[in-house]
Parts: sequence; structure tokens; C-alpha cells
Amino acid sequence: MAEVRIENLFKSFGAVNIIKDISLTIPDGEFCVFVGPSGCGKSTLLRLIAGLEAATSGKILIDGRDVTALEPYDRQLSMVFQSYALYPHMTVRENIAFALRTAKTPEAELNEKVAKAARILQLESYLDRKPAALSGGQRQRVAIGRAIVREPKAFLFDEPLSNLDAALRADTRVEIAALHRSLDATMIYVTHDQIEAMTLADRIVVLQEGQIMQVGTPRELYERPANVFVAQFLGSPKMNILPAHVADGAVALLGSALQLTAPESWAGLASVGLRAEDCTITGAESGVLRGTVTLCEYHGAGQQLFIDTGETGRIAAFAAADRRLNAGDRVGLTFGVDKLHPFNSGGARIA
Amino acid sequence: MHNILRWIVFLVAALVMNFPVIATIVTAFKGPGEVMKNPSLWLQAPTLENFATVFTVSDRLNIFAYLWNSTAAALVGSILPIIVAFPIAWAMSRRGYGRAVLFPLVVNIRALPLIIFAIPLYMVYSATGLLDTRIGLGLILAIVNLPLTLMLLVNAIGEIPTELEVAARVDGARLPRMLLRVVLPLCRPAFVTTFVFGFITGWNEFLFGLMLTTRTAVPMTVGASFFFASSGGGVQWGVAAAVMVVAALPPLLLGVIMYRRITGSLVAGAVKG
Repeated sequence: MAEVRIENLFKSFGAVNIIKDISLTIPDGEFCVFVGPSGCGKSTLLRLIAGLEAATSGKILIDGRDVTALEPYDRQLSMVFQSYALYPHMTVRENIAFALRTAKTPEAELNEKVAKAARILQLESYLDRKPAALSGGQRQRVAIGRAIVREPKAFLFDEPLSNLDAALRADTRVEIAALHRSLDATMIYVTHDQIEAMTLADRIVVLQEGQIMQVGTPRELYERPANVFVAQFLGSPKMNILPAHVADGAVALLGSALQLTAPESWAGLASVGLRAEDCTITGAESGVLRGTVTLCEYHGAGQQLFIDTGETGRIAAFAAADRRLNAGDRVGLTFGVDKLHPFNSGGARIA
Repeated sequence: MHNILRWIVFLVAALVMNFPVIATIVTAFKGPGEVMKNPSLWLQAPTLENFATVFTVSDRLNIFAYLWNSTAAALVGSILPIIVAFPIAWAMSRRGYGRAVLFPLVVNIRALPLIIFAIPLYMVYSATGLLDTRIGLGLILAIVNLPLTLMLLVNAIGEIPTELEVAARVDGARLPRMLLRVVLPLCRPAFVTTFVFGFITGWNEFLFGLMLTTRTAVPMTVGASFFFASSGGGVQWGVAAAVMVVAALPPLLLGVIMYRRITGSLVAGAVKG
């Protein structure tokens, strides 16, 4: 197991810059998740680490050793693919053993390792089947088995759960988390799914347009997003961003008579972020903001509201499940100033 | 009623289309007298006499030698292009080498009448001692088969998901091991297809067999023509028909045996479809 370090990495395909100056250190044993929208460069970054793409400039170090110029087979990494990429002509046993055979592992040791991996992943009764005879979840477990059996320096996961159905995805997610705990391995995991990112990661790297937007624990990112992009990318529904400014030491929201004292550091405020769960629904005649419910989604444990507050904008909020609300109802909203995330005109957090 | 009509039509069509084949097979079982007197498809006195003549080895005619020559040449001519084309096909398919010029050029060689190569080939063969050898005939058949083989293999490799190769590389496999252990086994159906097509093409080839062999390496197609007038005094139709039947059997059998393996893909289960 090893530390993975990336220094000033660039990657362009022709004139298109995909990765723009990324520097990042993933400590030994960390579960690091790259997350971002489609085309943000997260998969390219993973492929650069794997050696499947050549860096345009910059360095990649594994365990302190510069591997930038090395071919993938010399980097001693394992990768799990979204499409599983199992060798269809080999049995499950041969699939798992492939890397060990490539490394000319002695037969006894090889059998022992394959048996161990099969035990961990509950694949023992499928070892002599071909991948075509397995279900999607089993195939993905074989792909994971193929990765763990060779004890790599780090595991790379490229959206491994995207092809599984929702229930299986949740189960496999738990298995991957358990696997990380038991192996104590460095894992780098690419996903566009923020739930996977939040639940699995020790640290999340949020990427957009080939640049790192923020790096931190899920809690740090959720509670103190560094910018509007991160604030809106993590959390569902996405964070409400309301245009705002500071006037006479108070937060002024467009179209609202709101008077909340602004901390001194908030000079330069251009917008505030407010999470749906930080809003409290009040009666139509109270609350710091008022509006009309445009949509009410019943989720069982609660309901999600979209409230049109006129000039202030559309706000997503949660309400208790037992509260009878319908589209068209007038409601009030209230929240504390401590729940607001202040951003400047460039979208960066100011305090 | 409709069904019966339909079957009658099918039967008539099958009979008409296969008439030359049926007539040849029937003639092969007719004695010399019957060939002259009885033109119908009905056999009056079936005989194996023609086959006995065909399988009689004489100074001038040796069907076992012809069969062996054809087999050897067709094997070389069908297997060699696979060995040669496989790495090229991978490089063309995955790396794009030669896709713009070389690939269309090679494929279009098929459009050229090969006779235009006859004179230079003959001279090269006589200079290198390949004239009238099985290997020499096999080499030219390999060239005949190369374009189709290359085309089929380029397509077959293109259909293998690239993730499999990527996975093998990450798993520590260098290029040769990846090609041998991952790409090659997955190309097996394409190999069978090209082998069968190549073997049949090679077996049926006549022009180069006639031109490049004289005694020791005469293939079945050329040898068969020797039987037409084996004893002078006109064509012995019964013997000619019997030799045609014998000559047509090997590729036919190969086709029937291998047919079921030609179809069907091996990559099922590799990636989520």
C-alpha cells in the first residue's frame, strides 16, 4: 500500500485541456473519491494515475517513486471498471488469477490467494463459471476480486457501481466500504454519484473542468463548501443560492425585508447559500421570507417543497411529513444567519 | 393445401438449382455403357467402378497425391495468413496503423485478377526453387487469402471491448501476453471463419495450381482435369464425375463440421451489454 502524489499535472487532447494543473496527495490507506459532473476530468485523472493516458506535463508519484513515464503494467495498481471488463473466455478462477499468473506467482500461493479473495467476496461457488453465467453484481465482485488478489499499491475504481441496479448498488457500496476497512488500502474511486462520494470517502476531491474545486472530508465539504459549485454539487436538493449583499451591517436579500446582522467579514457578499434542511416552514404571515408552494414532493419521511418567493428566487425546503401542504399554499420561511453560506461575486466562500 | 404447394415449389427449385450437382453425383455411379444410353437421373445399374478407377494409382494419375497436395497447400494457405494478419490486424484496429492507405490497398488486391502476377511469380518461383512444391503453392494461396483474413480479423478485434485490454495491462500484462492470453482467445470464432473460407478458397484454386506445379505438387483441382481423358479416346464422363465428387468432398465436410463454430461471439459476459 502506498501514498499517491500528483504534482502539477496537465493533460490535453489536442487543443482541449482536460486536466489543468492538478496537485494532490492521497495518503497511504485513504479512501479518496473523485467526484464531479460529466466531463470534469475525473476519469481522465484516474486513467492518468493508472498509466492508461500519458500526462502532458507534471508528475505522478506512487510511494515516492516517479511513475509518470511508466506503463500501466509497471505501476502495480489494480483497477475496477464500470463495465467489469472480465475476460469472457476465462473462468472466474482464471479471471481472478490472471494478474498472479502474469507475475509468475507459484501455484500454491496463487491458489491460496484466489481462495482467500473468493471467500471475502463470497464467490467460492462460482469459481468455475464463466462470466457470462453470472449476474451483474457477481460480475462486479469478480472484478473486485481480480483487483484485491494481487495486493496492489493502490486500488482504482472507475464508477464501479454505475451498471448495477439501485438495491445492488447500495449493497455493493457497503461491501466496498467494508473491503477498505479490512484491507486498509489506498483507494481512489471515481463517481458522479454524490451519495457514493459522501458515504465512502475519507476525503472527497470535487473536480470541475479539469480543476480541483475543493478537497476535504465529506463533512467539511458539506458544512463549509469552498465555493458555490461545491455547495450546489453536494447535497440533495441542491443548495439554494440567493443573491444578497451587505447593507448597513445587515444581510439584505433581494425582494425581502430580511434584517439579519451580517458578520464583519462578510464584506463583498454577493450571494448566500441556504440548505433545504436549514429552512423552517412557518405560517404564511410569519417567517423572514414568504412565498407560494409550487411543488410538494412527499418522500415518506418528510416532504420536499419548492417555494416561489418572488424576487428572492425559488427555494427548496423540507417540511415535516404530517404537515398538510399543497401547491399554491402560502407559507413563510425562517432560518438563522449562522446557517447561511456567504459567497462573493466570484462564487468563492468569504467566511 | 397451401403447405403442400409450397413444398412442391421448394422441391422444384431445389432440384433445378442443384441439378448440375445431382447430375454429377448420379453420373459418378453409372457405368460407361449407361452414361451413353441413360441420360435420366434414375440409376439402372449403380456401380462403384468409376471410383475404383479414380482411386487406382497409376504412373500418370495418383489421386492420393493430389488430395495430399491440396490439403497441405490449402492448410498453409489458410493458416499462414491468420498468423501473419493477427498482429497486423491488432495494430490496425487498435493503433490505427495503416488504416488510411495500407488496409484499403490490401483489401483491394482482391479486385485484381491475379493472373497479372503470373509471369513475375513464375520467374521468382523458378529462381527460388519453389516451383512444383507444396509449400510454394501454399504461399501463393496465403497471399490470395490474406486480404479477406485481414479484413475479418480487423473487424473481430474491433469488436473486443478495449476495457479488456486495458484491464490486462493494468493487471501487469505486457503486449505479447495481452495479445496471446486475452485478444487471441477472443478471436477464435474469427480464426475458424477465416480458416474455413481460406481452406475452401485454397482447395478450389486452379490457376496457380496449373501454372506453378508440374509433377510433385499437383493439387486436386488440376489433377481432376487429368482424369477427363485418362485413356485417350474422348472424355470418360463417369470417371470425371467420380473424381469431381471426391474432389468436392473435403471442403464440404470441413464446412459442415466447422459451420456451427463460425457463428457466435465469445465476448458475451465481458462487459455490461
